[in-house]
Amino acid sequence: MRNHRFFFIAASLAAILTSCRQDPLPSVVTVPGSARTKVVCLGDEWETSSFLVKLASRPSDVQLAELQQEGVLSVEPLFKSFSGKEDLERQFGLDRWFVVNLKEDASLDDAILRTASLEQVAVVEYNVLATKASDCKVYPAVEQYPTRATADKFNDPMLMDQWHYNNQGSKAYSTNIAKGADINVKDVWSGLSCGDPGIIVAVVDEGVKYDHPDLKDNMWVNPGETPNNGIDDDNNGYVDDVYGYNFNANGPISWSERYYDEQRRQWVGDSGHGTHCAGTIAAVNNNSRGVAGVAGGSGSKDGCRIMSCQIFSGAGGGTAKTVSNAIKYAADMGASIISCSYGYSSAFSSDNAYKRAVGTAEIDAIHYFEASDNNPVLDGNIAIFAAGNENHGYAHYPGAFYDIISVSSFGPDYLPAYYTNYGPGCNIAAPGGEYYHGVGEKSMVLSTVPKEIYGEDYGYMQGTSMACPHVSGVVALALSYAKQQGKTFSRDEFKRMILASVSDIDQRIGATKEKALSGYSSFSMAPYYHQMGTGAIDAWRLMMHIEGLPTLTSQIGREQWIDLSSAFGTASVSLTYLKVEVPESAVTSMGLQKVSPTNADKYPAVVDENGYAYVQFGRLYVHPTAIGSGKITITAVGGGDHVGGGNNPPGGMELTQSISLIAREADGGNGTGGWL
Amino acid sequence: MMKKILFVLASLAVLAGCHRNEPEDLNPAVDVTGSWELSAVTTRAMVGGEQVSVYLVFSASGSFDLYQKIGEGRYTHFTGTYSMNKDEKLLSGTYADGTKWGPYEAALEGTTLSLNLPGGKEVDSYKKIDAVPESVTGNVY
Repeated sequence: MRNHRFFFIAASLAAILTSCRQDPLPSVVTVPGSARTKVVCLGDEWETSSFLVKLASRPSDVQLAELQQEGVLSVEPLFKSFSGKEDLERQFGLDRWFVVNLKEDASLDDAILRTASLEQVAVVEYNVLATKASDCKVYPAVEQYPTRATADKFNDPMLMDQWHYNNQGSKAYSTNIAKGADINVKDVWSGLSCGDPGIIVAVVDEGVKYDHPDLKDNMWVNPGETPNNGIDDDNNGYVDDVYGYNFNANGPISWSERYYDEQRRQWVGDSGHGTHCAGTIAAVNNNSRGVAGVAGGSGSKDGCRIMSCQIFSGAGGGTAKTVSNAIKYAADMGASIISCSYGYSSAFSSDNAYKRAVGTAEIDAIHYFEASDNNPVLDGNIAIFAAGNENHGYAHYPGAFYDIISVSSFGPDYLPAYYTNYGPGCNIAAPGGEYYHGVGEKSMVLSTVPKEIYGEDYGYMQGTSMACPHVSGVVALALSYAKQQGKTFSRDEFKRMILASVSDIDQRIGATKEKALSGYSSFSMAPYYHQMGTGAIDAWRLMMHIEGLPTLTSQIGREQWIDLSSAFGTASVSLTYLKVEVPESAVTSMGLQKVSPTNADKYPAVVDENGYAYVQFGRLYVHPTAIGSGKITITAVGGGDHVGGGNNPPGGMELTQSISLIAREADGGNGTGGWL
Repeated sequence: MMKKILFVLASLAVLAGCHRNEPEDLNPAVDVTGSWELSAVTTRAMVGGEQVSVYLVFSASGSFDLYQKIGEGRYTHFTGTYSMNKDEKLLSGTYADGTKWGPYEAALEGTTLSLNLPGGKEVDSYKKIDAVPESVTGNVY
């Protein structure tokens, strides 16, 4: 049973809320009484037949018995303990969480207040309901089949319509298209990484259609479980959890339970949301079918793996209890990333308010997940959340929590999507698509959907829900690449690298843009400036961060110089340079034009042997014509104008440094973006 | 004795006066102080297909203000410091966030300031203005 109502908020707090748009207040029960301060709620919709309790310390039998008060049907642990992780469970207090189930006629509010008055109780949490960060509208896409024209790095025929991976500026995807409004993954696929089966991404969402023809080869398979035998073979507390688990129905994963609500005149239930997100992360690449996934491998069954942690099923699910258990399962069963395209639209004044007020069960579970060690690269895992679609000036929770990555959304015009949340709590942006742009659904995100619902295996959706799995996929690629390189990082260091691996998204922000919502209208872009996080996720940059190479940005369409101080220090302008080498892959990717130095007799220059770059005045000169990326190697002399040693007079040391160069439509990477 | 001292002082005064009358520095720094509006560019007329509007203010104290707008929208305001290499007439500076810019070869002809990247790859021309219009300074993000 569920309840729908809005919390009473004291008038004074409401006044603050309305006057402080970017610093909203929590929806907390604020009625008097010290016990009531223990009561927390983060939504305006919740289960009325149960609530969650966290005790202050590990409970005695007597203390547990005290929870069995009037109206209480049963008390049970919220989390299933996982063998070998008991210490970590205790560290994050998971062993102190309980679910209190109520009798049918019991009053939820009364039971909550009675429980909160017990001394041993630390937190009482409403079993609130999360919402999906998408409008869940799907525009089915008819499957296309390979032709010679669609051949690319991968032979997936619908990859050409996935502008969000490789946006070359075709107006088929927006009348206001911006080249490079994508995740810059093309060159990562071409030589660095396409994924790794050892990196598992848990999709905490609707159920993933695990037998989808473009997903099944990249589904995680629980090695300890025999399918459909009704037995918990691996003794983890879940029966037949082969590809994950349905935590809402406490049973097999489902993805097509829905019905038409005559009153609301809309379909209710499964929408393919989880299957769509899964396809973005790791649809099977190079299989001559459908779409590509960011970390979907190269066609040799080498993609990252998808684990389905189902929190919504049919018209139900998404409770704090369901979500917390799903996240713990991901931690215990080996996921390195949780991709969470859901959230709560309630607002909070600060992380402390949230921490005090919110579903601490879920936050405890997220922190437990991030502290679990499921890959050889990090000392932990990474949680990624959608920022929300309410067009609020702050991210919704739990992604807004200060140490959790939250993703805002842009369209093929490289501008904030009309629905995206922005501002405090939004850490990074990614393509989430946006209906309209004069091209209908083509400007949305194309991925996998369940054929049972839509009659097609593919479809377009929009939302920060779609932006979130792009970042999850890129992070999965990065972990794959780091694993391949034998590199290790701390979890926090890696998070910083993710947030620093971005392209500038602010440079195109102008006065207004158009949206198609209840008719066409324009809306101001000013509130979004510097409010979309650090920038747009850039897969190539993240790989270069892993390699330790400096990444410099250039702009397509003109010859220009690139400052080399990040490669050779502040003395770069005065060093003597010996050589510059541009590999063919870089020439091809960025469409480099031949360039030649002027006044070379007066100002010395070194030129690439094929003429695609030169160094003069301590700067690198190039002329890119296509969106792309590549590595360029430059050799200089450190300490003099020639190399010493041998028969040479005293001289300097030869310094060879590779740089990573990105060519984008807008030059947004070097320094501040100022004109000078 | 007094006459002798007066003569020496008078001679020093004349010498000092002679010094002041010597020809001016053959290689003076270009005086960029004041307000400037970008009037012409060689290679950067458009950025990503967008029109560019730039205003610069170089103060005598060594700080600068840069207002720029690329395409539609408001201006972005940058600040920082600048310096002029007198011998080579090279103008360079640092944005407030520590990012360096330049050096540019600076040349002043009438009320037009040219800032050229060495090698002649990019030449920007600025015309002198009294002050940055309020429509710019009042229209920043």
